[in-house]
Amino acid sequence: MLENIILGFATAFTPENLFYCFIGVFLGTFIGVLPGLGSLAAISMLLPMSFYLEPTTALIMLAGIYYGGEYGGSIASILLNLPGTPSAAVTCLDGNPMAKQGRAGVALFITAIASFVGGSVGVVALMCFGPAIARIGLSFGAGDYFALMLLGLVAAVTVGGGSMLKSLIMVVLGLLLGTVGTDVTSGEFRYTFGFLELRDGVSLVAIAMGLFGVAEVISSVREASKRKIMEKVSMRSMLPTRDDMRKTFAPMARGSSIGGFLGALPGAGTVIASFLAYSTEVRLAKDKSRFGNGAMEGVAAPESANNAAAQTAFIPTLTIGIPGSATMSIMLGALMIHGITPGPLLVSDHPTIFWGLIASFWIGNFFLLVLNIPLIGLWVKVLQFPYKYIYPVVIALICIGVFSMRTSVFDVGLVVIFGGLGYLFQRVGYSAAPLILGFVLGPMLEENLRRAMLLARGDPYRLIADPLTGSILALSAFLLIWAAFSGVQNLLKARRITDMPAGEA
Amino acid sequence: MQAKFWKSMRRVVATSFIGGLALLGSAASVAQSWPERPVTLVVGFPPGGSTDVVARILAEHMSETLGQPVLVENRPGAGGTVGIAHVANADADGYTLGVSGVGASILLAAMDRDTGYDIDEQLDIVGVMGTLGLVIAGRNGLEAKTLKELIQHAAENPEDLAYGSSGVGTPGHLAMEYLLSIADVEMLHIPYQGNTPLMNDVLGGHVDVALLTTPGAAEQVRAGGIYPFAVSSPERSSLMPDVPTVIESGYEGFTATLWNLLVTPKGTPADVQTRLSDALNAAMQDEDVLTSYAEQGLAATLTTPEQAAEFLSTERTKWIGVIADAEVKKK
Repeated sequence: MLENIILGFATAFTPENLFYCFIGVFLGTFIGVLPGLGSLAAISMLLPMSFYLEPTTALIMLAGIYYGGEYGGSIASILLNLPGTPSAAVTCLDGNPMAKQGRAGVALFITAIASFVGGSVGVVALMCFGPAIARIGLSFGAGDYFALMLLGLVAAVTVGGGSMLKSLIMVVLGLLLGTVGTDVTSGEFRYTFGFLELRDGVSLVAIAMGLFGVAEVISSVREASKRKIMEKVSMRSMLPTRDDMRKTFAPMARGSSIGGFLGALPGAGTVIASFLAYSTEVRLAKDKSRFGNGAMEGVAAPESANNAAAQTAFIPTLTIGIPGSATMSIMLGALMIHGITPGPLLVSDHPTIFWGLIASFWIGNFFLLVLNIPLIGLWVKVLQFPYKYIYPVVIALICIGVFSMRTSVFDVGLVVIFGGLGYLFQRVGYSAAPLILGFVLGPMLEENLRRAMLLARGDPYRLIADPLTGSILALSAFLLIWAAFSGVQNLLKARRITDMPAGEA
Repeated sequence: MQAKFWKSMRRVVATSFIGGLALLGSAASVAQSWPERPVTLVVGFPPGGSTDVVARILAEHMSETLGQPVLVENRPGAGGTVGIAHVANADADGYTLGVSGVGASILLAAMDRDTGYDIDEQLDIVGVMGTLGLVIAGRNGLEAKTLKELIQHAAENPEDLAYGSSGVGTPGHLAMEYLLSIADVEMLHIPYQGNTPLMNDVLGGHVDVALLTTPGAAEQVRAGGIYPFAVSSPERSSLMPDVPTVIESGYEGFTATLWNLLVTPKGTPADVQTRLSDALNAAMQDEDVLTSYAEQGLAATLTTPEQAAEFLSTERTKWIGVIADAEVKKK
């Protein structure tokens, strides 16, 4: 173990690898900040360049872009309520209110720390338990995935903050949007209305950027003239208080564990990780009303979760050769081009690639920390820019980003439609976050349920009888009952208060 | 039979190739100026996938031959048809080429799915870009150790086994249905969304049998995660020389391969097509390309445009028959 780590650092510390690691995380942060442009687009664009590099160096750079993107994604969420990446959408919920309260610096600082903590936890998990975690991931069958996704959906209802009914409506809307596209089990087109562009479903980036990004711009335009520009931010005001740090410690720990676990499951990904970490915090909080109004935990938990997930996503990718996401497949492709086929023997056949990459994660996360904390001052200055300059740029970037995902003009049109819808939702007080989660979880939920039922030859009992599936389902049922129970209790309490004669409450 | 076909085809092409070179000097008009700028090679799958890798290996060598960079452009979506639809509607000036796989060339249209183009009407075929076999592999712990035993087990216990493919109407799905129809047994089909989740489930023991693409499967076989029964190609795979073909396992006449065609929009000038065909075949004989091909489990092919078109029509007849036999649900 120790000699492997030494080998890894020896590989990662060559000037060339350090240089490309820095380039990777720097580019990643930058691209993550730009709304609509994600690490997937960046990695696809840089893949051809990586053919001229050593495989390890190429992977170090591409990986840097990937986890760097998770760092950067939240910056625009906090400052402008515009998520840089879909997984940062949830950071808008509390990050932006913090910025509006003049605590943008603190929010960014917490984000940097939480990301570092999450990233580090992910790397430790990858280093120490990589192969073991990968085996646990393998043991998850379709039924278990279904149960897990259902648990996620139950949790989603609590993400919206306010009314549970409103959240439920949005989750269902997300589920419906998720059904658009080619049905996996039969290969039929569903709800494509003759648009060939919809065969692969609605683009997640188009939905996220429309509902959050464009909607925010539309609503800001109305108030642009009224909105006062932030005054200068002192270094002092950027630093969180001791109390702030104390409050974020547990959320970071929980976020990192949730993210670390979900990241290791192929297909689950950073979006689900950040949303579930957020909803866990809402569940556990005594005073739920703080969420959506600048709760520190609402920033710390999802940020540590998505960064932990970004690191542990390398577990199935590197230890068994199963890429968990589109981005991971591209990274494996970078190896394939060099004639290295990733598989369970990668770690033993090519130890310098595996351990060198892991060592570079440490270095990269450290780079990100030293890169981001001094930059906070610079980022906050964005708020001092007049909005009339920022918003046109944002709209242009969103269009470029969405177009680059699938080179589809149709998707740009979708962004406009979802932008309009998102604005409507904002006006009537419906949060778009549960919709995103429903949209991401829905197709996976359906696909896995149908596969599980096929494998069980149509016998639902066989599905529930599986110990893992059964227990996760039971947990979801418990959460639902608990939610319903506390809902009724709150209602009764509220009624009692209003029933009391005036002056007594 | 197919194997013999290939061998003789290679010989024919090799000789005609040399003859073609001699003729080339005299028959140059448009082709003299082409290519004046970089040529785009459209791939209908994301970067890093098996189709993308094929395109990039060949593009690198073709860039040298043509004297202008051949740039791979990924336009993924809908089983590769989004990219090919783009090629079909591009200008026929020789600057937009496409890599069209089995699905985009035959299968989706054969299942009456709307692809947005008609390959015969809208595309010219330049050549075959190599073939790749599939591996029929089982999870660990299955009793059967040969393909015959596996099929026998399925025949005796019709409810017992399930096989996974990377999707409805993908070559893996149809190849297995083809084999099952030859052997006259039934097995439950579980479609996945691509090779990755399928690999995950067969490694985890959730599905019994899977049709996997060669390079990835070879690595898992080497690590002992899955058990290979047979390869679907007419010849054994360079990556797993110990694994028999389906034909060797006793199913005469069975071959199923993945392949890609180099296509251009219909009406691309004839001399441009000749230059492209020559560049493709030159790449197919290059030492480095052949090494890369072997690493990816790919078999190189040498075809004239006419042979490639004939190859397409033979394959189409076969797969349409399989789709009809297997009663794969049409739209």
